Amino acid sequence: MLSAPSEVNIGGVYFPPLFLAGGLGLLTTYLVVKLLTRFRLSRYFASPPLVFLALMVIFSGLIETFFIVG
Amino acid sequence: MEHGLTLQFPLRVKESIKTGLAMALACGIAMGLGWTNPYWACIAVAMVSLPTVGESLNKSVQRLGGTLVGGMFGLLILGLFPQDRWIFIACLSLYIGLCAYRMTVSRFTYFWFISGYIAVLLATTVGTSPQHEFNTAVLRILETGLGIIVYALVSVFLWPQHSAHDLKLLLKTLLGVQTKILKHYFSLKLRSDAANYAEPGYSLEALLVAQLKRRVDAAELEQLEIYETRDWWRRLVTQFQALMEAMEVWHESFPALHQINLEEMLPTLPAVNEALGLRFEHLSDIVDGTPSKQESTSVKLAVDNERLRTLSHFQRAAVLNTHAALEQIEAISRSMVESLLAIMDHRRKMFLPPRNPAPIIARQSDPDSFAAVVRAMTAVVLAALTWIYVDPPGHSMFLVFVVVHVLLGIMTPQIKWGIFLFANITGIILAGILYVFVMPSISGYIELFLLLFVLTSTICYAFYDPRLTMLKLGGLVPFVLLTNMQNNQTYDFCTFSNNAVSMLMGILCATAIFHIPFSPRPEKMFLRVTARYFRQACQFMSLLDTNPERSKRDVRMLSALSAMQSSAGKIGGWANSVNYQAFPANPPEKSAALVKSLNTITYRFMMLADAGNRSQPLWKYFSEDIRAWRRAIEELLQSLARDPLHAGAESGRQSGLGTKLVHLENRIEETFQTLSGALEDEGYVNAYHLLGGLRGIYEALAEHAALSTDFKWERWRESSF
Repeated sequence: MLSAPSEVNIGGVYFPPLFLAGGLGLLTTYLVVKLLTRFRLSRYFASPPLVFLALMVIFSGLIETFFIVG
Repeated sequence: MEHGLTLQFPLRVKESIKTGLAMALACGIAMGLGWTNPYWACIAVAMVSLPTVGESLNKSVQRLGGTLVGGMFGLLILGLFPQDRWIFIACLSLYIGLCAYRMTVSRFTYFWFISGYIAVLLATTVGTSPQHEFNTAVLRILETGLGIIVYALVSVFLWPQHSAHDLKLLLKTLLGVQTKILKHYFSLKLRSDAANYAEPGYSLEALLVAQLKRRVDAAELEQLEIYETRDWWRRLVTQFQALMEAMEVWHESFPALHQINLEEMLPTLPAVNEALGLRFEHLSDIVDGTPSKQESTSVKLAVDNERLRTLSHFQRAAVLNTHAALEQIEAISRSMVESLLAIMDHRRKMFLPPRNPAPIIARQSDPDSFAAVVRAMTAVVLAALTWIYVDPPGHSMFLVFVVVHVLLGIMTPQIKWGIFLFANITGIILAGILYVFVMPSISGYIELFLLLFVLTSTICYAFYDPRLTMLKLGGLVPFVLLTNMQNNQTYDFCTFSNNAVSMLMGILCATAIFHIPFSPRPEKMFLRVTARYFRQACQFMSLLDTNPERSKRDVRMLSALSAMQSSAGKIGGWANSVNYQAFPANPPEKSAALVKSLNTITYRFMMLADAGNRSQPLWKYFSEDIRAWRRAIEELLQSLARDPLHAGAESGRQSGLGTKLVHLENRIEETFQTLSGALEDEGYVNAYHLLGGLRGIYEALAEHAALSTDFKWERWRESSF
């Protein structure tokens, strides 16, 4: 049975799970993108901004699914 | 009034204290009057706090005007379309698009920014009644005015910094720099070394001219005396700009004078050098207020026609171009004396300056202007759709945040979004700490005053450098906006966090929108604007009509030339923003050389425009050759516009172009030899100017092609994040 996401409690302050997942996803994407740029792998992408957006969605989903436990 | 003890603070400390004091006072007065949202007055203080009174007043007037106009529009569309959301969104997006466009072409960029921001703020402040919206609009205007007045009073009475005091010093500095540059250019031509020593002087000169323009604009509002003579001041600024350009145009002709003894060709050159030196001393004396010294006289720059005949026709063209440039410098400096005397002498200032016969080309629209419109309208539509169908945190404030950040990006194209986002995150964290742990323990205005004063002063002190303005605002604005200071203060962390997330999402959305329709990365913009520059140059060449009967200045040509100058300026700006650490193959010196080369090309086009505007009675003898040569240049410019990457490959074609030029020169030599007109005939002189202009273009393009060959364009063209 799938567990539904509920609020994340940090020090008595309740955060929506999507907020944390989105924030962490953005941070992860930023780090990955820095590495891709550093090793010039970004030149293989036709539209890096769309890749950034896609990576952010993917990482946000993965983080929410596997790390933010409902 | 004398003080027993004088406290001497550095300027940075003074300005920080003034801003902190003004912010705290503005908030207190608004609260004392019982107005809601007193933080609007605080935001006005944060935005208009600038180093001098004049600059602050200038920005204040724009802010107040923008608030009025934007407020009226916001109320208008609310009144017209209260229940028609699609038409409402369409009208709002059109107005924001107009504001974005005007920001790129108007002098009053900040006015249009505020107008767009306030329009969307008031249009989305949906209350329970129309009276609520009207009251909100009026309150916004009142509190903006309050913030402006409080800051103006604080800056006038506490350690006032006047633009007018600096003007005299700036004039003297600028005159000193221009004197030095002119003396150096003369020494280059009266000796024979050709080092580019004066290059740093030119950059400083351009900076000082831009600074003078800003200071005059600010000082007009500050001092009645300067306001009364504002026409003369503006004329003086134009003259300094013209003098700078005239000296650079002369400097551009130096390579063509390489093997010519200029003193022999222009025997009175040393006397002209001395006369111009005295003229500049006289100008400096007028600024000092001692114009009673003997006024410098003009010395006619004579041409030794006998010696001139011994040179080739292109060398004669170079000498005559120098003659024309020096005459122009002399004329401009003479008119500067008139302007300065009118400014400094009360008897003369009642007369208006002579009208400038040349049409003034305002800031022109270019593809960046239309990109700004697309971005602004996209921001409104996307944010509105998100508000309607998703209802993000912050609700209507999400739309406001997206639009204001997009407009901010249009106002400052080289903004680094990552740093700006980080600054806002830091500001939000700081604001959150104060909101949760400090503000609930505040029980009266005195404590709030101390909090606002200390926080604002500290942030202003830390980010005093004008280049750190975005960081300063990133620290101040989140606190002021999110803490929602009111008379009856309540604390709601849910609202705080929702608005904070809304603000950050607005910045992220603005960052994403800025990738529509093209990437805003500095190196990509460099490439794009360079291609645009060559298209504009091509357009100019196509307009260059050497019809001998035409003597009127063509506005279209001036417009194309102005567009080229604007593009060259933008290219320089983008070159400064590139992250060169990521592109070690292209160090900043290489791109600086490319930018300098483009400026050289622009000056050569200016010389050609001047030559092309003269009557050409000898045109019929070599018109076909010049037209063929002009077509070849147009083809080269078109290929550079299509693909600047292969400018190096075009260098192979340069030899073909060079051959054409040699052929043209030979034909002209033969044609002139068959003619029996005297050299001082205006027709010959003007023909020489035209030939010199064409040759100058060719040489400048050849140099640019050589620099382009050495540049690793592929790295800049690669896709990157």
